[in-house]
Amino acid sequence: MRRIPEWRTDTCLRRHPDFVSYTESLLIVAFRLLPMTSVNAYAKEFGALTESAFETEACIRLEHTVSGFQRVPPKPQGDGGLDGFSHKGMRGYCCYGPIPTSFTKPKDLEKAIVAKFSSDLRRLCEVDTQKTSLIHKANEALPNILPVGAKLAEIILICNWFESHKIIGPLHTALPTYLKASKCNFVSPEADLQIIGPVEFAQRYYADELALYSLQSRTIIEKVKTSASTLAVAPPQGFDAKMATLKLIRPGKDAAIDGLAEDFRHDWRMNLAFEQELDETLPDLHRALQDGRRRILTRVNQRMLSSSEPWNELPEMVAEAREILRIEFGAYANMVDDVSNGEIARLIGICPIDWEAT
Amino acid sequence: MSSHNSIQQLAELLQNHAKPVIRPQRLALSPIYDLDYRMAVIALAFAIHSTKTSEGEHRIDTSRLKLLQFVAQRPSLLPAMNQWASSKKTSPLLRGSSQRLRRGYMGDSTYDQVVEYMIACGILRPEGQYLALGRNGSYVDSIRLASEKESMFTQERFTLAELLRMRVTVAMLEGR
Repeated sequence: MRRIPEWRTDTCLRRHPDFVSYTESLLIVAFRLLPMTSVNAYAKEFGALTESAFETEACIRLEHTVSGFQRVPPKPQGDGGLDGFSHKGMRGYCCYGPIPTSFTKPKDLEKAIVAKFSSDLRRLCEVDTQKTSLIHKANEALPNILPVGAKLAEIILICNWFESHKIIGPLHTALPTYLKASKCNFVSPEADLQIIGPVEFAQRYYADELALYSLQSRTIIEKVKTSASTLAVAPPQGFDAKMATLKLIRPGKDAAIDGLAEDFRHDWRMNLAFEQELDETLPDLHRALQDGRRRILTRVNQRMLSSSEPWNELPEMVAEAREILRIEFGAYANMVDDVSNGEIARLIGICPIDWEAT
Repeated sequence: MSSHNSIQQLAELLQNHAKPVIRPQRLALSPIYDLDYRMAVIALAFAIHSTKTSEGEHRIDTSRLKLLQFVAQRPSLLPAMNQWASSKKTSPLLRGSSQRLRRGYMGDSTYDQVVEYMIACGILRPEGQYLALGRNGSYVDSIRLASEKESMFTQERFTLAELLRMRVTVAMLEGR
């Protein structure tokens, strides 16, 4: 039993020696993460993505699982209504990730999905609505996208929400109607379509643990970048004092030093946002990050003390920080590249790495 | 790569002009990995949210305790928690926003380890899916009294009090 007077902020900074044994738990965290299979977990995460993030994730997964999948960049020339194709241009993929919260009723969301995919299908069939009839409208992009002579025989419509049967009928009715009016330059007259949601997508394209890790990593990094821009960092006095010392050591370099300080603050914000995101969504990885930091600082210390040119060791430490974090992050290692630079900046920012004039 | 360039630039500025000083003590671990802190938050969550059985014994569902203590340590999650608790009543289209919270709380394996330690210390006692007070259960009350008297853990206690007003359903505890 611990006595009450022990409750002090400083004691809170101590770590119990026997309590934390987390590095080995990293690889099994996924199995504790959610009481469901990786397919369901992936479907849940995938379904929560919207707009371009949803399209990007769908394309990444398809690239991994469908041989010959070709992504179509949407910008700057447009994608011709096709997000990607495979099977030498015989199978096309269209993605749509609406923001569910921007619709108050499921009915509105259903309408939006039907409208978007209908629009894609019209573009693939090169038709457009004029009053109540359909007229030919050439698709300028498709000749440059599909292989010469290729015609889409199967069109997969991938949506982040597929919880209503009311989108099936209208789209399956629309395609034959468009095909009838189409010159069928890029679509086979017997083309079929299939609508799939997050669960079907995950089941069909082998969403295993690795896919789930990758998706979570990408989601986190995107969120971190967004939230970092809104964070305000109030550096400790030590940081400002450190920069002031640097100006004294290197007179005449004030502008460069001010620029450096701003860069470090920026990276520091990224780092804080990343830490916050990990703490709230992947607590075990947050623990791994903390452990990794101690190792990085120990290595910084060792390298600088043993070197005749200690400051030249600093840039090398970015690569070493990356390696250390890769080990700690295990399956989530692909998110490390985005944060390892910031880790060294953070060590400078919060002052474990300091300097004084020789 | 901008920060890599900044570090390179800093190294060039300092080389031959300054000597390095490494201060490992400045690298403080987050208090959320402190055993004492975690035990206190769990004790407070138990004290505030446990319910009395017909036999007069206080107990709490272990998943509920896990969720409550997770949010108590992260008061910034209160709005997400509120949204999650009320989302089922408002619109079935609301999703994603609370997903981070679900994933975070369910992946909090530190909680499991701390509870195991508290059970070993006799502070808590497992009772099926519930946790009740053990032979040293007076710890829970002592933490609550001391924190009120000394005005400690005010943020955590405030968050736990706010959580009393939210309806935490079984579906939420299962991460749905």
